[in-house]
Amino acid sequence: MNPPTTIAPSNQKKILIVEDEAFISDLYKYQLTKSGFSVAVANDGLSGLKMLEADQVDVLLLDIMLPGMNGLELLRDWRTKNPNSKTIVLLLTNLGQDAVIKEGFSLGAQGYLIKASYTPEQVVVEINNALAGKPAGASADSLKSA
Amino acid sequence: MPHSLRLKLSIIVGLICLIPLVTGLILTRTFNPIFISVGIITTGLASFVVWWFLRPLESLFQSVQILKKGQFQHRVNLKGSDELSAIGQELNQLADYLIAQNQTINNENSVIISQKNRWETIFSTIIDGVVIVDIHRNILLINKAAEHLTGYSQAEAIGKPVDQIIKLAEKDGRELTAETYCPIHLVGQVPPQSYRSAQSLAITNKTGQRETIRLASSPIMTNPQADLGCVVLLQDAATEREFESIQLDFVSMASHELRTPLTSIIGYLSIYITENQPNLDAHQRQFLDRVLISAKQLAALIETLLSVSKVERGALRMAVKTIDWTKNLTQVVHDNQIQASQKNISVTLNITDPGLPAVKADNMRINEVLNNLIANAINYTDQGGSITVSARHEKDEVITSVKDTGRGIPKEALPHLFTKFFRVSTALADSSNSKGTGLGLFLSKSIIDLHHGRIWVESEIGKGSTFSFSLPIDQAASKSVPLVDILTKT
Repeated sequence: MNPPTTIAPSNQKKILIVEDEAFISDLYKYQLTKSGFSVAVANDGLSGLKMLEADQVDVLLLDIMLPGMNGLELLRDWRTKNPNSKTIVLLLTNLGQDAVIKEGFSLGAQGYLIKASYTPEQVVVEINNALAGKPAGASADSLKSA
Repeated sequence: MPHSLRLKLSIIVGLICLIPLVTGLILTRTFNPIFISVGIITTGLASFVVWWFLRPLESLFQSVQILKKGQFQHRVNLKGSDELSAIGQELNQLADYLIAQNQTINNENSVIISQKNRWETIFSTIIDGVVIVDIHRNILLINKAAEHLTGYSQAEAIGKPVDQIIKLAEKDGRELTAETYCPIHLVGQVPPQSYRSAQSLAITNKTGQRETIRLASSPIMTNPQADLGCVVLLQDAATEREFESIQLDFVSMASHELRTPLTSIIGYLSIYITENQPNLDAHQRQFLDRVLISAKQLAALIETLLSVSKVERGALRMAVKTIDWTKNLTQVVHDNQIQASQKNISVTLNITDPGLPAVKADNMRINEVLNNLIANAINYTDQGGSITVSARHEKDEVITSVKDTGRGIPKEALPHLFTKFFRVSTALADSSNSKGTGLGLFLSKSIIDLHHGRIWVESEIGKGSTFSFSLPIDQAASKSVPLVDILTKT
């Protein structure tokens, strides 16, 4: 696979992927970079939090099961310090983590993407939806009536 | 009354002896004192003799009185060889016989009592709840464990209808009737359909608390006079609950560990195929497509297994949202066309109603149902056949159908179609088609049930099958049971 060559537009959106599985983060990084996003990757919770605080990010793709600090702890910590941040948070999850997802929503996540169910192309679609203000993935829509 | 008899006879004899004296006195009119004295003495003597001789009669009477009180050790003490003494001896023999008889009865009684005690002790110490029910399904006996599980004491439970004391429900809340868990089989009658046993039921006790139990019950084969209906066995399933939570941990761990590599396989492959499309020859393209299809099948299989495990734990939740149904069907049909084309089967969408309303459903779950129905249709349709997916608006529902030109389903298989692990090919002893887990339709039905919809099938051998399901178009949330419960309870 050749690295994508895309000329970054001036309004290029920044995406931070916090995911410990390199195969998965590489996959998303490749597809998102190709689709015109500026992508950074953190392999664990703590470095993810540092990168999030160091730089303004438009979309945070956040895995839940991470070494050291897990995704929810990262989110709680960051939300406490930045309650008004405009960063869109999408959880990267697997099915069967309903309780975790609920907690993620209460911490201000806008949607969740089930890794095994979405191809990289679909992940791009969902991120574009979220940026356009539409519900992303299996989103908060299901929460409203819950 | 020997007293009065003795007295009467003495008096009468005395009086009779007085008769010659009185007669002599009247006739002679002489009041010779000697004569009178002799007469009175004779009279007195006669009375005394009678009184004396009848003495044993009183003794006999007293003995009978004593024996009557149960004092069989008492003996009549009469010497002599007259009839009264003989009666006395007879009485003594009778007393001996009664003592022996009494002893035998006592022995038998103590055996019976000790057996009863033994049985009661055994019954009450059985670790599982045991309830014995009569033919009218009223409780005859209940042991300690069953008292504990139901919350009712023996005194409260005995004589009550069994379903007032043992309140059982399926995991999904459906209550069990006494007829289902307490089968009655009378001699000469047709045995009940099945002897009920269930791995995991909820029992609600007297105070309204719920516990998980295992049930095994069997009818007591008997005639109506015996008045024995059935034995209900209730096992506390605490260990099962522990196991379930371990299983839950395992399932979520396995789901993560199995899906992560699959996500990579599917993700990288789909990107590779998309980017290298122009450079791939037909063979290469076909091989890669097959790898992708297989990986997706494996992913779907994992999802199915996880979903079924959730259904069984009552943990499957629907995240409903409004879905543009025409658009969704178009996409699902498109996704299935590649696979169908491998068997030279066409999949077409047929929606005649341009204003087909949107439905309220969990998009991913409902697509699982659609994909499953279409995959089944492909699986059971021969080369060159066709599959038609259609949808129509009826009242407040949208009915979606998947119609194939396959081999059809035999009538006898239809009632079992939506049960777990049932496979038509197995029922037909058709080893030529061994695809599938027998879980797809079970899961599909569970998902449709959770949407408050219905799923059904019409089929004719040799002509094909049509699977249909209904989904509510209106505010699903307005129903009494909230559909969207996805994240509230885990």
